[in-house]
Amino acid sequence: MNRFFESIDNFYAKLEKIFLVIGVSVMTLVVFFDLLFRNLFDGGFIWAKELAAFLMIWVGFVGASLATKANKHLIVGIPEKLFPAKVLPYVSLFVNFIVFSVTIFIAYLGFNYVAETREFGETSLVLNIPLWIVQIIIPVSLVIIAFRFVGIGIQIFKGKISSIGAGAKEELTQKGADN
Amino acid sequence: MIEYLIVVIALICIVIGTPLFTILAIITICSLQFLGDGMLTEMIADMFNAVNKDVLLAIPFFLIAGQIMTHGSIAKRLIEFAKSLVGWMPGGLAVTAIFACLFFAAISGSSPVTVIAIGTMMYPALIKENYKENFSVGLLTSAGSLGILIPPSIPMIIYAIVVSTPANVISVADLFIAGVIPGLLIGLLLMVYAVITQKEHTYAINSSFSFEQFKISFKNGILAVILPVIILGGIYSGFFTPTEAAAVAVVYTFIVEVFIHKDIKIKKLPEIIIQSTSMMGTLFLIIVIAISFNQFLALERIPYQAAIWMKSIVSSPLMFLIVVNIFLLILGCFMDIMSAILIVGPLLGPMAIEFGIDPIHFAIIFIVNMEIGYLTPPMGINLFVASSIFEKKIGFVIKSTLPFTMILLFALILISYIPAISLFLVEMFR
Repeated sequence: MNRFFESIDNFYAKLEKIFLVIGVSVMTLVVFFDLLFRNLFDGGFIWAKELAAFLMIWVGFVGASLATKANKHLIVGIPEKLFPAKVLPYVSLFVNFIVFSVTIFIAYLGFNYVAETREFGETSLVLNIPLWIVQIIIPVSLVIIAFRFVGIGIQIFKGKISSIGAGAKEELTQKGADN
Repeated sequence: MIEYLIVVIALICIVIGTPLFTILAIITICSLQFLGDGMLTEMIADMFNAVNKDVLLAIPFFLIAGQIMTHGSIAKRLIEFAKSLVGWMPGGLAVTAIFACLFFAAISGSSPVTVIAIGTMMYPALIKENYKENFSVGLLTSAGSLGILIPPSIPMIIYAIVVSTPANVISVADLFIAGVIPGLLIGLLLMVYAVITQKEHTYAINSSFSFEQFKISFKNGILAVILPVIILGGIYSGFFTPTEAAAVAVVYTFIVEVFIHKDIKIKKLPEIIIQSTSMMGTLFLIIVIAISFNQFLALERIPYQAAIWMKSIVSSPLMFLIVVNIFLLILGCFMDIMSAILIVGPLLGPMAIEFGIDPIHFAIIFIVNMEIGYLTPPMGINLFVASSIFEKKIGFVIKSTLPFTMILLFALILISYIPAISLFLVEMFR
């Protein structure tokens, strides 16, 4: 059962990665060429800003859910210094539960909101795309983030990772090895 | 009553290590539900409308540009460049290290990464030239924190986004140029300290200036050094906005690293993009929720009320700055720069305006304070990074960093009470 979820997770992560690479490339080129054309030929693209902004939402939220897979979310405190090693996993599990509930709740609000925009048939100013298509990524990503936190919880329970946010620290030490 | 409960809940969440986005979400939801009008879907609307803030786009661009640059051998190039310029004079290698840290941190946008990249290369070199161990550790740990004052600076962009109000818009362009002189001033103070304390017992290996050497390293390093210049120049000549400057930075670093320096292969690019966007994703989620919370604060006029309350306690702007500096220094001990900007920036910014302090000047004060926070225990991240890469006890690192922290504090006092240091260039270009 666990395997099954893992393979779905990995497949979705692959899709996310493909989207991020394409999305960011398009975003960069659109902003860059808009600037170039505006300065060289006095004619930019009026749709450039809007397209870039919409891509930004998608890239931002997809990036956030991918970061969850790598356990890279920013935490403020230093629980590993405050709690003894034996208690820490339980604290982390409790935190996981909080994150899961809060994230699912915002996702629920998000779906409501998106349903509203869809009902009103709102479209964007320049490109004329229905806004709900742009917005749908917010609740969808939040749901994925929530379930990936369940995954983090399972891994903490199994002792595979030490705490929430450990991925970011690992990345930093890896960077040291690179240079 | 409820507002205290929210604060307590937030504090508990911080202590048990809850991700920042969840903490902010809890605060926002509770505030909207119990203190506001209970329209919770407004939160999603705010999160979505956040993208109307054009400068938000600059963050992923600058992150990617930084990642592209630092994947190459930029650290080595910067060090070689600085070394050929000043390495021959007494204390020259220390000055080299400061110079390299300053530019590497500006380009990479990360203070701890600077400690790692420049630190691992410069530490052995410094020891070899007879620099004291504690001096070398302290210098390399602290110099990287300068980067957030030199453009491009992501903390500055975030500050501009969350502290701006409709009445007082803080422009990223102004912040960028305002940071230049304070950044150079601190760099200069560190250099003076390094030369004065180290010139006696250190020796340079090639103790004469070699023009040939300089020519080679100039050619290798100049393309990296001028990135901040291109960004500032482009913004101030009116060619592009900060957001477009960021896109230009991506294209520029891409061309430089792939085609001119040939340090990275095109095949590696997707990996770099994925890495920086997932880093961006964590920030993005936090920022959009913080923006939503700020909307609530503004609507309920809470920053204004806080300012009135503050005015009833301290009377003069001078006193206000002392209080704020002490508060931010303490905060910096426990909070990283992003969290501090997002959580207390929106409260303190409007207060400063009430006291008649220029918002740009105040932003620079805020950022210098948080920069010191990289170096103060128990949560100064540079200390931990330095302790692990130099293989020294954390206590030793803290002690070694102390003189440099003092210099930064001295600079903070200068920057706080001489507004011209921050505002001189801004006014010149206005």
